[in-house]
Amino acid sequence: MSRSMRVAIGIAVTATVVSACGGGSDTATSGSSSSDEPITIGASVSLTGAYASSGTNVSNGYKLAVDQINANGGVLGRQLELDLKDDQSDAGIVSRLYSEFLGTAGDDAVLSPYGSALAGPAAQLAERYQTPMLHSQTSSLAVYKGTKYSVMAGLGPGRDVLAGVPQFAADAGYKRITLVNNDLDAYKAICDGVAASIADAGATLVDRIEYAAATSDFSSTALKVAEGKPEVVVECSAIQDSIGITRALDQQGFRPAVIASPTSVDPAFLSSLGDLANRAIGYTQFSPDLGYPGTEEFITGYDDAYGTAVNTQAAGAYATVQVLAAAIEKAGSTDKAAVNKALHDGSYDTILGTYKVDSDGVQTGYEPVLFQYLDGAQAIVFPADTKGALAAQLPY
Amino acid sequence: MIDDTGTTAGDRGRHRSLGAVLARGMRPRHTGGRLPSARSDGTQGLVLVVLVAAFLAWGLLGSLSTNQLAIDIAMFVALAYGFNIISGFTGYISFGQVVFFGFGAFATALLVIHLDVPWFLAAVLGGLGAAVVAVPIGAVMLRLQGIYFALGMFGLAYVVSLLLSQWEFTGGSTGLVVPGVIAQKPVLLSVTGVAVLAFAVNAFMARSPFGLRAMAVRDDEQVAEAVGVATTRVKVMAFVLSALMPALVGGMVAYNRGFIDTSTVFNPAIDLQVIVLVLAGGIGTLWGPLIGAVLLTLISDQLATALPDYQLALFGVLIVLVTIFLPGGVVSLVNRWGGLRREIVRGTADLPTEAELERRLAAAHTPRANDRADDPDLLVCTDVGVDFGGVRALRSVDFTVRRGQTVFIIGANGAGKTTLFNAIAGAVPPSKGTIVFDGRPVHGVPAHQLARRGLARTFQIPRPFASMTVWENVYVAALGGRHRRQAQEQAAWVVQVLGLEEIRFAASDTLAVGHRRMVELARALALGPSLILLDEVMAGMSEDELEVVRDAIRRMPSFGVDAVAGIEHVIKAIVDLADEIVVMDRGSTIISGEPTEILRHPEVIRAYLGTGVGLGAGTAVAGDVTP
Repeated sequence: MSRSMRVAIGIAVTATVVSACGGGSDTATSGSSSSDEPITIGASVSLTGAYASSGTNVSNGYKLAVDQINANGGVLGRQLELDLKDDQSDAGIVSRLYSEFLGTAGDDAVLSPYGSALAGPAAQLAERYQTPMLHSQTSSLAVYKGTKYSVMAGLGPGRDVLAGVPQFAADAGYKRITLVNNDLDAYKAICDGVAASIADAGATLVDRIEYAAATSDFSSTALKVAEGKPEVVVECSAIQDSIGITRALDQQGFRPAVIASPTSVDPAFLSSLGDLANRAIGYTQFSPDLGYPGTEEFITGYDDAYGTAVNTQAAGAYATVQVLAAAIEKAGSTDKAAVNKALHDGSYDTILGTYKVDSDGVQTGYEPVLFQYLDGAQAIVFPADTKGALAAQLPY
Repeated sequence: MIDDTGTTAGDRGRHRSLGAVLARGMRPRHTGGRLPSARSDGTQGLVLVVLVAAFLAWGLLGSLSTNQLAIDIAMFVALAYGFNIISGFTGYISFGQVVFFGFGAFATALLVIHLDVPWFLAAVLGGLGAAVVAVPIGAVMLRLQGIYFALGMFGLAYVVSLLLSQWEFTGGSTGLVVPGVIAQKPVLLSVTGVAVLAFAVNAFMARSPFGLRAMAVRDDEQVAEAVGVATTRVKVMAFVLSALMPALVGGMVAYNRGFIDTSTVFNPAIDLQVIVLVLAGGIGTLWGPLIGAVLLTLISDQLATALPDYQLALFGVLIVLVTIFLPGGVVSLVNRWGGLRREIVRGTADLPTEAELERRLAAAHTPRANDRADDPDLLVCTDVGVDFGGVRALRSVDFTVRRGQTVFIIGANGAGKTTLFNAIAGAVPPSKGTIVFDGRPVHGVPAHQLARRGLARTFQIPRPFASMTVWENVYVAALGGRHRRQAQEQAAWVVQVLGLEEIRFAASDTLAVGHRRMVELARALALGPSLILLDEVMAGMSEDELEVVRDAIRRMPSFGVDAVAGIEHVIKAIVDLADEIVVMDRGSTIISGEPTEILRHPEVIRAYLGTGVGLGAGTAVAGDVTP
């Protein structure tokens, strides 16, 4: 027998023996259900890497909610135990971490990582392990499509966030609308939502301009916008794009009566644009002015724990844990199927409003409101009957 | 006894006997982990079996998170080996191999989603699809060299990612769900299988004639072409192999993750990570990618667990330290003690006798023998001109070499001698005139085909393949158009007739100048040529070395060489060798004839020396002329 043949046989035998040793079926381990053991929750956040700017906010929101719930006696008399790890914004590490949460540790529930690129793989693992996953920062509908265990808990779908802009503008007498969107699906969906509500508001679509996600010079985009002389410009854009488009419009000497962006809530919008940000429109799902139950406790606790002001990402994370706790209470146990049913069927009060999802797990309960930057502060302006709403100051 | 550089005690004795000139070039140099060894690598195979068994035992028997970590490690091993094929062994550094990872991932996802193909089969089909797609991509992209190829691949990956992110069929920018069940252990076994396959392909590259050709391309592509290596074909084949591995694991990872999008599977950070792993382990070596991928992935994971706040910084410092202190990678450290070297390709310890080799070679079929034209003119150059942009290097050259002749060209620097050789050998295209070799024009014929048709050349500055032994330098030339066994006999015969037996396992980049020129000559002879073009083969040689080369030239007819054409400045060494001397000046031939006649010609003296001193054919005065 040749040397190579012996080596080949050796490899085959070794592989066979090893596979036999480890060849048990990969089945999901059941969650702990003892009445005095803590309820385990696995979650990854991006403390480093491309999404690091979100990590601390989300982490803070999760931890504050868990601490407050535990301080109030926990859920079903049991403490919540949060296993929080840094996924380094890496899909491979996400797979590793969620295998640990779902397979090795058999956590009772998991909270999703940030964004669809990371949440997508994590959601599919949750499906395979049949464990409820609550998403605090995933608005992409593709992640939820066809899933049974994923629910959108910390924010609403992109299509809804600026859907009120046409009516808001029409109420003020401005009806000619141009939409500008980044070509990534998430931003397209936001403008799709606006476009769908134009007719109902009695407004007209002047133009819809799409630009490549990698665009950094928006002067030609601004020229195209200005050509149509719209009264309303909606920028369905990432934060840096929104800043760029707003500035480019100003440089072209064109000022619409209403300018709106889904990312203007980001503090960078105000700090970068300065006076140009004044009277711009944005949306939020959390505001102290909205006064949903628990808001005061959240704001006070956040300030005490971290010494900084609250933000929408932290609020979304906080609300996500609120939803999980309420669903477990309603299910009466940590049985995963029961909790999942409670997540899909139930509605719960959170600091973002009333949680409720459709059959795909997509949020339908939260109602985003529009705010306007007035003297450097965000003031709710639409719907006008919203608690704490002020009269909008137009034109932009 | 063979030391770490593959040099025998006999070699060292020979170096001493050849005198100080040869010895002065023998200073050992640090050449990373690429130097081969005459040791058998059977032990390395056994080590691999043990490592794979231990790895699988750890990955399969551990927790599911360990299982997942093992998948990541195996994935990076496979990616690193895929990269090593094209960038390590073939020398084309790519910043865009991730395009095949993404291709495999999307192909697998789409096959699972739309055709319900089992994931494993889908991954294999995706891998094969990528290999097919790599053929036209490679044929185009590999026309670029150096940083242009690297950036070209980077751009390709970016463009493909952008296009797929706009295509609804591939999930646009939001991605695709890959339906499936928990299958981490089967995925681990599959990805490990690909990693082992990738290792096997790298082992094939390290010790096969194909791998030797690829390494020749890496070391010096122009020389590789000149010794008969079909460089384009070798590069494209290596590119295809390097595309297969990432595509296979891309498909498996896509199923394992259950969700893919363009930003994740075409992420340039994957390429950067793989490059770092391979560099840290040892690029172009057999074990480097494995060591780099396993060590660094484990270290990164452990740092993330133990020191999460400092993990990235510490990992970066580690990479910087490895780069500074181990530029050849971890493998180069082990190489210092002779370990983990590749085995010399077809480097048998015992050579048959010269007579036995000649008998075998005579019995072997030589295809070219039957094709030879009866025309006495072997090489005919008529009115040949070469322009480099606005510079006219050759104006009008008429140059003929007849069978049985030894012709030397002389002329001052810049006369166009080497340009003429480059034009004849197909390295530069003539801008006018015709060159006919062995009855057929050379215009448009690739250099490697000319080499295989019997046109061999040496280079003015010796250019041995630096990462190869002397034996491999000769063997890779002997491979041109021959069966492996016949090539081995041809190489063995050349080594013997040129007296290179004692240094045949020495690393060629440690050789003295004289030995390097002999390697050049040996490579040319190994092609079994009709015509050898010798470009200053005797420059810088000692008296002893000159005599060795002169003797070899005299024996060329007995080696089956029909004619010799040389460029030479060492006049005294050629007067009794040359049947004809051709003088060139400013891009043209100015005169030709018998040596004694030519070297006394007034125009030659004017052009060559610029004085009225006669060249004194065959005298000591002329021998020292080196314009």
